[in-house]
Amino acid sequence: MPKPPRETAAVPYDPPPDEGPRSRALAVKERHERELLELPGVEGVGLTGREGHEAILLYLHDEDARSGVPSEVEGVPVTCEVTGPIEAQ
Amino acid sequence: MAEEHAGDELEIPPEEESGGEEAAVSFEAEEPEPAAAVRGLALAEEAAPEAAPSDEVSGALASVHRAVSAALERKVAGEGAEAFAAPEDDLEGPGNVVGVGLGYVDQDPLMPSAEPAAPALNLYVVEPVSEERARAVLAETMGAEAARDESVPINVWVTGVIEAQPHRFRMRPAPGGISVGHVRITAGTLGCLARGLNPPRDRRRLILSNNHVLANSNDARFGDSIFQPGPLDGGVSPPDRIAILERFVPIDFGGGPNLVDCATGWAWPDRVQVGQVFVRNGQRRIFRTGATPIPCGRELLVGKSGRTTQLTQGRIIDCNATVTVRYGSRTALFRDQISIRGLAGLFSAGGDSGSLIWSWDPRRAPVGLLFAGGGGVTFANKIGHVLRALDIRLET
Repeated sequence: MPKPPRETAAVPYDPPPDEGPRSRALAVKERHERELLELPGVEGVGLTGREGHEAILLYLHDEDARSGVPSEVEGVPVTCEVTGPIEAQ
Repeated sequence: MAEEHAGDELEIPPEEESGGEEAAVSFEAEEPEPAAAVRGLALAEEAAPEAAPSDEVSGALASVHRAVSAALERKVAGEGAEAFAAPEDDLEGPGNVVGVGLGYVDQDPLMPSAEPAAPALNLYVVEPVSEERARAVLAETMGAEAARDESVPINVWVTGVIEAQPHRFRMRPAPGGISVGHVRITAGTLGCLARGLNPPRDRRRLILSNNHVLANSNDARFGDSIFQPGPLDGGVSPPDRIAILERFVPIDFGGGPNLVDCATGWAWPDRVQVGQVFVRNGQRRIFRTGATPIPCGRELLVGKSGRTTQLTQGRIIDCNATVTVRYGSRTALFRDQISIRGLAGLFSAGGDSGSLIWSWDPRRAPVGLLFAGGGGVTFANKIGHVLRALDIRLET
């Protein structure tokens, strides 16, 4: 019996970077993302809060990591959420 | 190019849609009722970490929480059989209460006297009940005399009977929200149906979920079997095969940024259906979501139906998350992700990966594809990236 031709299932996705407008807080977050991710216990970096009152959101491995993170970056406040390790579910 | 890639077994999906009416099918109870109450307690415990520091919780609030927890424990242990009857017999009384936890006063102004975000008791009930009636029930039949004190804020959450049974069951045709998995994984969630945008994939009925659910975290090939339920939930070949792996976006475990953890399976058209499953009062029901995505928005209320935690509600807290995610012993960096916090307990847990996340409003518009979580926060890919990456549209 003839077998159907096999497709390749793996298809990468590499869209061009988003060049759209962003808030100042988001721009600050993006500028400092790499260095924030390298702080001990930082699992992730995001942005939270209402428009005009945004804060950089750090996802932390544990409570101890709080002491090692800044309280603001370029005037944008920093807030934290302890998630533990983030795992695929 | 080849005209058709259909194999001997896979039919090209017919173009006519299934009705889309809300359907209810009978539910073969596979777990006894008592477990429902256990689940209620588990939910209460999940809610507990959201509570304020103990020094801010009033003594009265703490004593109500203790008393109701103890009453629920007695109920589960069967010792309180005389004190209160089974829920279905006594929805006016303590049988209506299926869980308790500590949280904050909800923004819903049911209690104008309470300050927003003050510590509050979360009470999970089967049927709607007035706050006054709830206080009387807690005080008179569950040993929580302090509940009469109106300065103790109570949020009443109508959850229905909290189902003991996750969506691990086999269901044909299989809807969204149910257990699914590649032959060599444990189990995840079938997000929803989809269709390719371009030939020949526009004639395929596809199922959407994560790469790590349908494609074994990159270690898979076109044509691999996909089971419903997933292997951990008893899915075996051939009777439980509903689809074959069709496409996935490889996850970069080498430190490069990822945007999506997503894949499609090519389904036998008669083995899947549009809609999302949920279970209420022993009945499996299907509800529909929208098919047109909306962008992520902070503060947006969202929902999902998933294999493990079933139907849950949450709120988006972040639309720009860059996070490190563990896949067993490997890690991958994801950027431009959504994060969500559950409103009454966890929004998701292991096995919910692949769930479609939609806006909790009459549109039920798709927003994200659930894939990870930690410490009460759930992470999801933006649905726009998922659709572009897989070159699909949703059929919901």
